[in-house]
Amino acid sequence: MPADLGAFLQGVFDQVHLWASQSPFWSALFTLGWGIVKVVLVLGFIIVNVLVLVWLERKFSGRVQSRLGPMRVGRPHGWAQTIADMIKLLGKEDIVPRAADKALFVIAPVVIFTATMLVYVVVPMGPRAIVSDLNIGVLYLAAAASFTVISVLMAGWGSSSKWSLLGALRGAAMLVSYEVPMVLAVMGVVLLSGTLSTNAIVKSQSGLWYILVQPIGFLVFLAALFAELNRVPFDLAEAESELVSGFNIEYSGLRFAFFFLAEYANLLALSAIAVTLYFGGWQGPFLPPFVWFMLKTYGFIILVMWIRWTLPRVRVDQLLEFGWKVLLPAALVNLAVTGVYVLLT
Amino acid sequence: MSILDRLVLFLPTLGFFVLGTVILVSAWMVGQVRRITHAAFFMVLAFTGVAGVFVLLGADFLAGSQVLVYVGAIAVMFLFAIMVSDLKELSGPAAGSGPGGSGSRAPEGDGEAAAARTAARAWVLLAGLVAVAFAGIVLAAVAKAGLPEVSVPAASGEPTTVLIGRELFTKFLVPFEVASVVLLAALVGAIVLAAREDKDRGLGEEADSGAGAAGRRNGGVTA
Amino acid sequence: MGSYFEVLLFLLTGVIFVFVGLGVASLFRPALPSTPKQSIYECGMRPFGDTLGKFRVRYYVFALVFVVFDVEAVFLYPWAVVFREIGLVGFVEMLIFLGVLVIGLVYAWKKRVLQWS
Repeated sequence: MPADLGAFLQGVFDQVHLWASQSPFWSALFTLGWGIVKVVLVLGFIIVNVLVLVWLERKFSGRVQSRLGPMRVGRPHGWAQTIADMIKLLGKEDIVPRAADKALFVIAPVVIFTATMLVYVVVPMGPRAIVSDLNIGVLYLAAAASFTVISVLMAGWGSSSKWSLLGALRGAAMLVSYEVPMVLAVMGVVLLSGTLSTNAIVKSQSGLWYILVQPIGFLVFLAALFAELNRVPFDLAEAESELVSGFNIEYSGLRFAFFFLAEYANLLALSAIAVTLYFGGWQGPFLPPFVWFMLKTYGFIILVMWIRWTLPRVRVDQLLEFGWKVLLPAALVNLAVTGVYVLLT
Repeated sequence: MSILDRLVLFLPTLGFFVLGTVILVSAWMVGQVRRITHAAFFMVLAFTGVAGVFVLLGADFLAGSQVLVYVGAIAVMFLFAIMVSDLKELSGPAAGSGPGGSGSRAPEGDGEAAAARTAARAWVLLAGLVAVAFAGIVLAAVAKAGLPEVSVPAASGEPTTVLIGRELFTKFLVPFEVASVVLLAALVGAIVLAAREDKDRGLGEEADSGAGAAGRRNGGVTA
Repeated sequence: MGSYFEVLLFLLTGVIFVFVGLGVASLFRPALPSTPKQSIYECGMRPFGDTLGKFRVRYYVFALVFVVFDVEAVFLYPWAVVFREIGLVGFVEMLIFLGVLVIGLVYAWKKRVLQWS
């Protein structure tokens, strides 16, 4: 019985914790060990889900375009395609352009992947299934996202390629322009919940999902999310059909794989955050919290993919003007209205 | 208490010294590296280190805003400033010539070079004096402020964000509202800069507008 | 109440994971560098001209406006958290604060600063 097993593990955990808290050294060792367990679990969670997500996106885009998507590697429906791709990328030659700024070129994928890892610290997957429920959760998320901008500029600059520099500059301009509306939109949720902790925000939605009281805020958040995820219609940093591959054009093999991994890990993380902020996170009847969390997150990811494969890319001028002239005022109005709403209730 | 326990209790102090070293070394490197982009990225590292120190002090809100504002905004602004500058001028000679700027000194006469060296030394001296004066003012201000020895969040148990909010919107209301005027001044500065760019339009060929179909389309969208 | 130890751990893991991955792959990947392979990609053409062109100042202007609004956003976090405590007074305070900035935004709008071209 899973419930019995859970209770048993909880008992063992509590015993060990109690025993370890007797001296600072054992307590620290316990924290370290438990931390490593969490890191390994999250890393495994990321890798497995990214493998599934890449496959899902290829199948989904295939269906949208009346194709089948991958079919051959792994039956049925090419389930092993991403695994094969990963193995292929592992065996690819490591090419660093001679003109590249080697230090920046090497560090950029590290920064982007690490920034994504950091987001997972505050993703609540269950009442107690959160790596570390930081007091400043939402602010922490915005801070972690700051490093994405830095890494995009690093990759673009480090590659010394025209495409990558253009992609990086446009992408960074887009990221910073959409960060302000995003923060303002999220502030509506913070006003309602009165806390920055992600888990507390989920708990405060036991009666009502915030999407029902924050529809405008959610739409602003959704638009900014596409910029943050660098996805069509807001994929200016990559812009396949204009800049070939934009900021990561010079990356190949495993170094490229890390960009790819970070991109999909980010999709998963930010979808989970969207679910946390607007769709009640892990809350739901009958099923266990983690199942609800996964169902909602994957539902949201499908929505993101659907939008991606339906809409065309916008131009950089349209994008920036939309961000400053539509999203920012909308987010400000939303914040004011939410303030009045909170005052009245 | 065993030696291991003492070691564990020493870890935060050790963390402070590690972070302090990171901050100082990267701040030093900002002035030392020849490529200006590297300087900007070292600055990011220094900013992040400062956020780490805030975390050690229990000032988590401050750490978050440090990263958000300094890494996410100020550093990005610097990087943009570098990229819109004439990059050939900035990184061309630096990448080519050896350390000490010997490349630029070679073609000039000995007397001129000596004069340039003296001038450089004078600037270094001036910079040093400014740095010492600034450090003196900051230290004097800190000494005069009479800061408590125990950090406030540790004493009350409430999140620092709540404590800061409570103080900011009651006791420090006027500075808070004045901050908006300061921000407005910065915004007006940006507007003036943009107006100047519009006036100068046509003098410098922009790389972005000439970069292919997308650039041409951008040019056509002068709505 | 969470601790920041996990943040440090995740940060280190992110860095180590990438380098370990690259290290492991270096055991069984080929290394056959050649000039065309290591040149910059320019759609199959020989790269020409300078990468480092001059970009439009408008990018910098957007960055400046962003800095202003990012700093403003930092003030919103503590405000939103204590909003229920300070109530109407806090609402009016923030309205004035944002009002001043909105004046700037409208001014920028009118001066066509938020326009790309």
